[in-house]
Amino acid sequence: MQLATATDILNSLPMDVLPLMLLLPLGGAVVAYALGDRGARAVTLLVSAAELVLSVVLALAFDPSIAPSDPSAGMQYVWSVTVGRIRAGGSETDLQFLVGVDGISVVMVVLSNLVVFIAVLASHHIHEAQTMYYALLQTLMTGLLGVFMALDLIAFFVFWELVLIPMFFIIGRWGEEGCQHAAVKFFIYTHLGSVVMLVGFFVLYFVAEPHTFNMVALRNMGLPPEVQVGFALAVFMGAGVKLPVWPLHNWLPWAHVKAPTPGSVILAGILLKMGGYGFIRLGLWMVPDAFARLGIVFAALAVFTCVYAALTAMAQTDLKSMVAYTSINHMSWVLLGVAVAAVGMQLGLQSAASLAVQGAVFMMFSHGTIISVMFIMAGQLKYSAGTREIPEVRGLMERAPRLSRVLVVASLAAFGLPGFSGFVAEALVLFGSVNVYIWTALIAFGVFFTVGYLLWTLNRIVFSDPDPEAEVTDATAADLIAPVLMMVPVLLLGVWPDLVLTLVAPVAQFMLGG
Amino acid sequence: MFVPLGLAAWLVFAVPLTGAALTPVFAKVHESLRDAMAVLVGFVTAFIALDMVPEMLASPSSTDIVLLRWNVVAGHVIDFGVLVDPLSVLLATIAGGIGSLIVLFSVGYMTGYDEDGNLVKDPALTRYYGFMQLFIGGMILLVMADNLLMTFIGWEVVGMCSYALIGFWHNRAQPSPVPEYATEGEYNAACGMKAFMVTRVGDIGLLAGILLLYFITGTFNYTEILETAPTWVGGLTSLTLGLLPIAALLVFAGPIGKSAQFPLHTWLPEAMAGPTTVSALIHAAAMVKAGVYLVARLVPIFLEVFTSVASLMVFFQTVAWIGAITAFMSATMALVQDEIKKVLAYSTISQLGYMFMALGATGLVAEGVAAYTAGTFHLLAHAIFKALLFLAAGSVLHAVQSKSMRDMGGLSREMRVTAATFTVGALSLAGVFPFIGFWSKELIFEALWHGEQYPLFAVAFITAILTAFYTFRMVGMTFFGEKSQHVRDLEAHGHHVHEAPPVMTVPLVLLALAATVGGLFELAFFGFFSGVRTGEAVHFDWSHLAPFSLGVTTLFTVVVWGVGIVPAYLIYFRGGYDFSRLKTGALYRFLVNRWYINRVYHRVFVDGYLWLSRALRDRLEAGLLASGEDVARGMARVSRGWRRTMTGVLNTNVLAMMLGIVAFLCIVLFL
Repeated sequence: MQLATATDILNSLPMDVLPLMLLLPLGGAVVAYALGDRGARAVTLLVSAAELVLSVVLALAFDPSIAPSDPSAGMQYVWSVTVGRIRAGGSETDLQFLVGVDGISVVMVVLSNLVVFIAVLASHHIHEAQTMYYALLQTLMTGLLGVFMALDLIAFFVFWELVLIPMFFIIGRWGEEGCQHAAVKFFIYTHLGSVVMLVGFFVLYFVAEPHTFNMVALRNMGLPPEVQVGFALAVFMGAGVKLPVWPLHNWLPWAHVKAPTPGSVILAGILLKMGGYGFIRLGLWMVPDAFARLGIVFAALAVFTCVYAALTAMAQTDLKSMVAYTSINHMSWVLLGVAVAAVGMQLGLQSAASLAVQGAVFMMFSHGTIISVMFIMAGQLKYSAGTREIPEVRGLMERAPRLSRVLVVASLAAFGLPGFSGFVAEALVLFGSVNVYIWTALIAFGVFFTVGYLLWTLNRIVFSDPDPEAEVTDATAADLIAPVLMMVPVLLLGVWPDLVLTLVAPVAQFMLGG
Repeated sequence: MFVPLGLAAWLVFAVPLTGAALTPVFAKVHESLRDAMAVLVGFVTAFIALDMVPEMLASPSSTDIVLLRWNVVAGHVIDFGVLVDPLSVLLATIAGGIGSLIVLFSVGYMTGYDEDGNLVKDPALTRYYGFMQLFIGGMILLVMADNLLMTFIGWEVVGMCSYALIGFWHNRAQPSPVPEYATEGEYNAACGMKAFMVTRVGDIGLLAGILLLYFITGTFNYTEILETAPTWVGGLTSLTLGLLPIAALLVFAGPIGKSAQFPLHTWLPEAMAGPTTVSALIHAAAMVKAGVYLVARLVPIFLEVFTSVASLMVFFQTVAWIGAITAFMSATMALVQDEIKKVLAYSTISQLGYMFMALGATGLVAEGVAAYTAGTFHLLAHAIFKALLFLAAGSVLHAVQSKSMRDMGGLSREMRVTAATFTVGALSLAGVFPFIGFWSKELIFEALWHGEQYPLFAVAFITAILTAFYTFRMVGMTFFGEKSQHVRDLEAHGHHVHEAPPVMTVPLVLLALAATVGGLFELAFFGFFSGVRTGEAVHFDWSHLAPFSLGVTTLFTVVVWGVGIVPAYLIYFRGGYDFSRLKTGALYRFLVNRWYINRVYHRVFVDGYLWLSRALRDRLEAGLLASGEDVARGMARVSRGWRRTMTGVLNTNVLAMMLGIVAFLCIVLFL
């Protein structure tokens, strides 16, 4: 997009924009912890709003175009700090924090700031140990941003794990009954995935000549094929748990259901995207050939996951758990997009591959926004109706019209009605994927089932006859400000997808061209 | 005429879409402003649509106007634009023109009087008017779109509006008409969902078909597909050659769903749960016409390709025969319905079947254009008389407060305008001269007869007899014969059945007028579609047919009147026969249960789907969860076992140490 004003703003900042964005929440966390309960929320809101503004300015100033033979692979605003040296034999490797962004990263950075901001807004029901909560939330924010900016495998891993720890505490400390079990489960699953990935990182380090953790260098190096495949499998373990892919998805329903509302929002809205981003950055971007080889398996797994999750979601009685399965169902589109893009590139179907990658990134953004709203509404249902059990809630349209309206619109968005961003995402992935593998059209059944269970749920809880004995209160304006704000990008991108796609398309083109 | 064509083609759907978006704003200002704006938007839309007609009549042509270019991938551009040709203008006029009359009618229909005689407006009217305008806008978007993708977007908007509007009265507390739901409101909501879900089955096919077509032709644009046909047909590989008929059939799945054809026809009768105005909009102007439109839009393309890809025959055969089966089947179902709106619903399904029969026959008969004209002309005819019938039925429902025809009877004296206009509609539906339905049905007969499609003709003929019978059964039971107990009760309570207010009767009269003189348009239709396709590879032979021709098939039509209308007149107008015996018969039960199709679907798909999803949750998903627990338990056991070696007893520790040293020495010495 490249607005000159935006560039001027970035230039007038006291330091580089990326490290500033990473350090701001860390500082904010300390301040929030020191200020006490009331100040903590204010500081966190302020910091997350500032971060959001910064990231939007970054997106506006960003020039996404990449020259085909760019040695830095289109990474801009690069900044690094060396934290140590590894001396092995004669060679010496810098252990550094190297950050930089390309179009896809910028999109993810904007999304994570948006989701965290909305999550902070939606945290107004949290009254317990607020200082700790907000401090953790801001630490989490640094971790999230770091993952999307890191250009160095070590930095990537540090940030990747940095996300895990605050999330573990947020689920376990502020969640519902049974949350500790869910938190432990979440930790073990994702950590197991990360460890396998870490092994992959080190193998790559030792295979590379000269030894390096630099992702751009590794990408340009042209690694031996068997190493690539091994690395791709390791990435699959790490990112596949996060995404999640069947059968690694087991932690997700538990963690989402037991977490506090803002926790679920962050989990579904942005944590899962780390998986999708991992697939794109570490997989498609770094080892495309290996992904092309594994593509058919991944695509099949994605299609199966989508339909499976849609069917399982149908049988859930807890609204939040249903939304959690919807999340699995939608994220499988990302894997499908990545897998068919890799295959399509090898088959020479450049435009189909490019469509699929763009669709995958768009799906991450769109899903991050829509599912956040769904989780906030599911959490709100608990406060308004006292329960989230679908069979026990009735007649919401009459009793809680404001809540119902937002819930209905969010549901329509969630099943991908044209006009909302979800449709564009699904259409892009599908247009790309059927050109590569015609059978991937089967994923459309997932869409169909999603429509089915969401409408069925609406009929049962919203458009039904109210139960005269049940006590239902409507959501207040304070409750609805976060979800309504979040619907803005959903609608905007539904009619103007180029807002995101102009950033993504050049990267997709570059990735698939070289 | 007044608005430039390029602008009008955009405005015609931009206006109602904007109107829909602004409805809540107007409602905040004043309720009456909202209603007035809805009517105004309806008429502006109708005006813009009608404004395009003279130009099309004068010189039928096809113009593709691009507004938005979406650069998806370098080199791959999707253009969003509008296609102005006779077909799209016809459909836009139907949606806009009839839609506007329906909105006007709503102003009267959606209000009522409470027990003290005060005017009561439905509290949710903002939602109602918003969705009505969105519905019309979506429909026009669908028909004006110049590419399949944009059509699909409009298609989905229409589907969503049908969901919202059919379930509009979701909070009615009266007991439900079927035992599965507690209240009528819940039943209505479920009906809305059913409509959306069943049509969505077709939509999935449609989307897959669109993708396949894109895969084969490389474009979404109708004009481009047609123009580049020689190129992409030449480039067909054996794979894509086999895929083309499949793509065509998949695309046809969409119309099967939206236009309620067998086997996805089950949603339409339930769609009657919505307000009658919504039914009128669904049946006459929007929604079900979308499917016919899409087939009419694609038939010329497939005809063009047909010369080189003979396997496309399967597409034309399927369209024609699905239409024929549906027409006959739903006509038999209509025979036994007691609710006036249900009769109309089944007749819609049946009439849509006629249209598909004709459109499918386009590829089967030599006079392809005649069949094409017949199909599209019947679409116009049906739009007019079905809107008329529905609105008149709404007027009756409004007066007698009941849906069942058993609660009506003898209303013609109190409701003269309604009765007269309804009868015009019925005559048209039954195909009586000189009303518009006569001309369109006659044209279908002719196309099938001269095309020597005798099996199809036989189905069309039998169905026409059934149609004439049930139509006059409906007229007789509602307006003639003796007054029912219900009506007498109403009158006894001082609630006299009365004619509807002018805001409701004016649309009726306008539509009745159109139904009477509409047959004259046939001439225009011949002009419409003959010019468009001259110079193409497929050249049509027109020699047999001229507009307003009467021939062998007219004899058949007269037979239809005799065999269909006369018995209905004797039984339901004159009365005095007792057929209650038939109600215990197997045939009656078969028909009244809708050939048991609905029940089987419910058992297989709804129950089956629930069963599958629960089985997945309880077996596979639960198993996966349990296996996670098992791993955890296994680890605990291992660690407990290992702990047992840590006894803390000095002797064992020293022993282990010794063993370790020995082992270490062995390694050092021998390796």
